[in-house]
Amino acid sequence: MTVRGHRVVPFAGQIVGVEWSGAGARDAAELAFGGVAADDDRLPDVIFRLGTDDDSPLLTLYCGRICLYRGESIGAGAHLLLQAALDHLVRQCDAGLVIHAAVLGCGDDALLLPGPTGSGKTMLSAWLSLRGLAPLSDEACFLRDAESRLESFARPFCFKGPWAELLGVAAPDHRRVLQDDSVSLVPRDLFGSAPRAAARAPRLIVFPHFAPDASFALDRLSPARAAVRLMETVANARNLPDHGVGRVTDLARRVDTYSLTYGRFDQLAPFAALLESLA
Amino acid sequence: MDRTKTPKQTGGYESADLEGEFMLYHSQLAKALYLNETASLIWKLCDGTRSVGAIEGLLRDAYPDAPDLTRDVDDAFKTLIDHGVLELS
Repeated sequence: MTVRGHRVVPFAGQIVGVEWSGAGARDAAELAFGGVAADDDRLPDVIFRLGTDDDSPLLTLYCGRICLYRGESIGAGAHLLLQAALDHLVRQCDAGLVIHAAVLGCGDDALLLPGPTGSGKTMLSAWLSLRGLAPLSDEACFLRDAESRLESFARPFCFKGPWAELLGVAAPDHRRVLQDDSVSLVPRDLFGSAPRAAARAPRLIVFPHFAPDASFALDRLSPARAAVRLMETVANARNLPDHGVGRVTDLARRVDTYSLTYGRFDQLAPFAALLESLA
Repeated sequence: MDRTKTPKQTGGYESADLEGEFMLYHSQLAKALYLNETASLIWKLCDGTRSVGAIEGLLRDAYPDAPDLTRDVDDAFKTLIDHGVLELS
């Protein structure tokens, strides 16, 4: 008998639905969205459908009638599902900021690591999770206004390249990791306690920049410099009446912000000390 | 820098004053720009009625002890023009 199921994925005031059919599709959907609180009773305006045939390795991913993926890689399908779902949620969000940032919990507070793809958000957030911070998202968060709490887009870590050896962790059970040629999807709970409902107050913002062999630098940014860097990470600026300028400047005024450059994890002791001083 | 030219703010930028430094943001270009205090002051004064020389004079009156004001003004104008947030006429 074919396994079937569905769930909703709420984020940033929006909601999408995910349906699956087949064991492989279920595994992909569970890994992608297993950490998401699914207690929203609104009807989604978009439904993503994942399907696998138990007799065939083929996975399909549809959004409505549009085929987004057809292939044999469960990891590639799951990654595409995550990207497509987040793109839709962000596109619809016209109240509050969606920031392209990793988020880690530190008590009731949150550390934000904003930055573009390739800046090292995922690796740094995994490294910090191994040192006691709670992994909330490696990709995006939502802030209704500067006084409110952050909502994180809970998804597995998406590593684009080697990760286990660099982080000094044993290779995990391959059944819990989905992989394709370009990305490894790794459950957040492999790195630390990953709470589901995790709205936190933003306490510290750090823009990471990883470059092999780079010297360590940790510099505090003025509010204006912080605002400029933050504007570059707002994912839904086009949907907002002032393009998010007001909320970004409020955030830059309220939250201490740093720029971090590093080339190796063993350089990060001063950064770890900064985090400990906040605890 | 030709002191007789009249600089004017290029349209389309939203500005935010953060403790004397400015962030400018152009929504259509999705471009954010940081201005230090000198550049922020100059940008505010570029309303299309004052020449570069007049703006430098106002800053010299406000900061008579500034050691490198001419160089700072030249650098700030160059930055603002290079980034397309000021136009000269």
